Amino acid sequence: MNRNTLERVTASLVVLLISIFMFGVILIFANLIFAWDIFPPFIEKVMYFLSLVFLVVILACTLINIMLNISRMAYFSEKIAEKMYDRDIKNHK
Amino acid sequence: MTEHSTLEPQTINLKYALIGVLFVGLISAVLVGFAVAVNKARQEQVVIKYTDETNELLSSNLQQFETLFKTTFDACNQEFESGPKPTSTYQINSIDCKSAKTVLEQVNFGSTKDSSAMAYIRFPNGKIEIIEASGKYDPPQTPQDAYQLNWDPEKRTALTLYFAQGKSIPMWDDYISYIPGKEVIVPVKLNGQIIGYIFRGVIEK
Repeated sequence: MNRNTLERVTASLVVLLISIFMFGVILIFANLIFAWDIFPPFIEKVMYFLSLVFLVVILACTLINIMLNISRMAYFSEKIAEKMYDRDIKNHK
Repeated sequence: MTEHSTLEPQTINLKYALIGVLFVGLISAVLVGFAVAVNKARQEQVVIKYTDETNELLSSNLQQFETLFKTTFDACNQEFESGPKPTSTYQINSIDCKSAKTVLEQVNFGSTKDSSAMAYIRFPNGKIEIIEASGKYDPPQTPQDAYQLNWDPEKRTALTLYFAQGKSIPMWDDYISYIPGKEVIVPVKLNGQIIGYIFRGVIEK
């Protein structure tokens, strides 16, 4: 997979999952505070597990995105430094 | 006129932030409102289901439950009074009552789920008396002292008012500390009079 594509995919995935997760966390806190009984205990456990899965995916995609962008920043910094060096050489000639 | 530089800090536009907050707040309010409605519907459904099941159990074992609430509690109390007394206030104040075990063994629970998560309760003279599903007997104690009840003083007070004055309380809540989860309260009536209560734990495994 292309690095740019992977970076775009992980960024979009993180934004989407965090948006959904945000509402999920609000409902989880409401459930804990108001002691709701919407689902049987087993289904509640499954939902808590899915929330954790979401969180792990969000963290993993965020880290992947950060690593890819650090790599890209390093690459572009190198390119900028090369161009500046070439310009300096040209100016001194 | 100078060109706008991308390096210059731009002014913060709070309009979009406010719209975002309102949007999130609105969606959250809708979701929470929906969850509250679903929760209320499910609570009613569970209370009706467990109450109907318990009433069926009562009607098919009427003699046994009548014996339990009218005679066995008193027999267990006599067994307790004639036995050794706890020597410190920290000793658990209960006995394994033979009479209760005998009566409960005669009850045909059939397909009633979670029969081991039931508590049989009487409320004589402002005190709570319990026979647990195992046949263990907890002698009359004030609601404040009864360790079997939920530690929350508001719930203890609400339960006491329900027993004493018939005050309306949630019929499905965590009232008994040793039964996992919440319990449905089912009053046991004989000839139109309440002779006791069955607390049925909703385990749903």
